[in-house]
Amino acid sequence: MTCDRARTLYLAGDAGDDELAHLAACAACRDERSALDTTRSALSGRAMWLEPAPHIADQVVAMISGSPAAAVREPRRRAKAWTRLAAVAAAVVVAVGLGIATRPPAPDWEVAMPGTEAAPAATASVKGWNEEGGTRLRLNIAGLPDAPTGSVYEFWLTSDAVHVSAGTFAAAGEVELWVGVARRDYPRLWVTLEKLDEDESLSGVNVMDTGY
Amino acid sequence: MAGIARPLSSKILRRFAAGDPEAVRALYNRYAKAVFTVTYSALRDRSLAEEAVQATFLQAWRAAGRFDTDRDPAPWLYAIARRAAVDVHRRERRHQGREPFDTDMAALPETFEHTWEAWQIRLAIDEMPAEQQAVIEAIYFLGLTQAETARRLNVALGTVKSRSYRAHQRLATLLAHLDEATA
Ligand SMILES: [Zn+2]
Repeated sequence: MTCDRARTLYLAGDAGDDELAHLAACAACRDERSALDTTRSALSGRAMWLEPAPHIADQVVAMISGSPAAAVREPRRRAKAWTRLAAVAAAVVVAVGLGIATRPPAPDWEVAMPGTEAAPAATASVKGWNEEGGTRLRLNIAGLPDAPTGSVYEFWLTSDAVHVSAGTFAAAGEVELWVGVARRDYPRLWVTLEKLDEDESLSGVNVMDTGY
Repeated sequence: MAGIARPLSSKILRRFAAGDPEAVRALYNRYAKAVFTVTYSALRDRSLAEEAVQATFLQAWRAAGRFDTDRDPAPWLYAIARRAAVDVHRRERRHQGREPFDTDMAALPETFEHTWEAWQIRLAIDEMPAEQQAVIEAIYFLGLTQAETARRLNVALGTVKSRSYRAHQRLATLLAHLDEATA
């Protein structure tokens, strides 16, 4: 009787008298007994066999494709058009799923972002929470018309010629976004109206802008 | 039933650390089941567990630039997954008004105790040949006897017995490593 065989059969629930006698007599196996019981119990639990629903994978990829982390590294190759719509949904998921649990009560900074000539009635406040690896943003926007069908608003942080997208939204109100950079490095905050097409460059109309 | 989950190539890990969204899909395919095992065994609620899975991969993605591609991503991802489950649990407690103050001192339920073991076991199952996975899933999840498993999988009873033996042998061997890791 080897330790390996005794433990294997015990774990499988097939231990006979010989195996049980070994497990009782062998000091090394006695030490393993509770770990074997823990494993056996884990194997019998639903958590071991259930899987996340298939759409969770797509949601994760959509959230990430709409996430600024990619834009930081490849500023000219942003998410494809269809993922921008997903990013709108993703921003909401992030707000519900993470924001409440982790956001400190007071923002680290707040700045007004007025409308440009293209949207003179628009006003917004942008609040930021500096976090590890980036910044959480909450926009409160008023006076900005809904994005026309086939377009979305996109929020940018800019330092000189480097533009980082923080994600997209479709309408005024409260918008939660995340960006993988700090505002002190990307001081200009602005919003463009972008067409949902295959053109991945920053090509839209500037509708709101803090300037530098 | 998916086939054998092999360790992610260093090329994929480098692409992940460089911020390639497609590499996140590869990371998800390899680890999502084990992450869900951690979050579900802690939270015991499918939708909360799925939410924690999303948070895990999103946070991993945000931290990807700091990930050391020479290291095994599994312990790093486990730590993020457990933390995500803790965050979801605390938020739910606050929503229920049972934990008015955000405190790390509040005790976690027992369901959080064996998440590391569950993670290791699920990873070991993912690395088994598909035919071994099918046998132990039939036995534990479907609750079938070995004879019923043989009929279901259309193989001989002896084949079920030998596959079951090898699967359990692999798991029994894993325990020594678990002890080292938690000692
Ligand atoms: Zn022994």
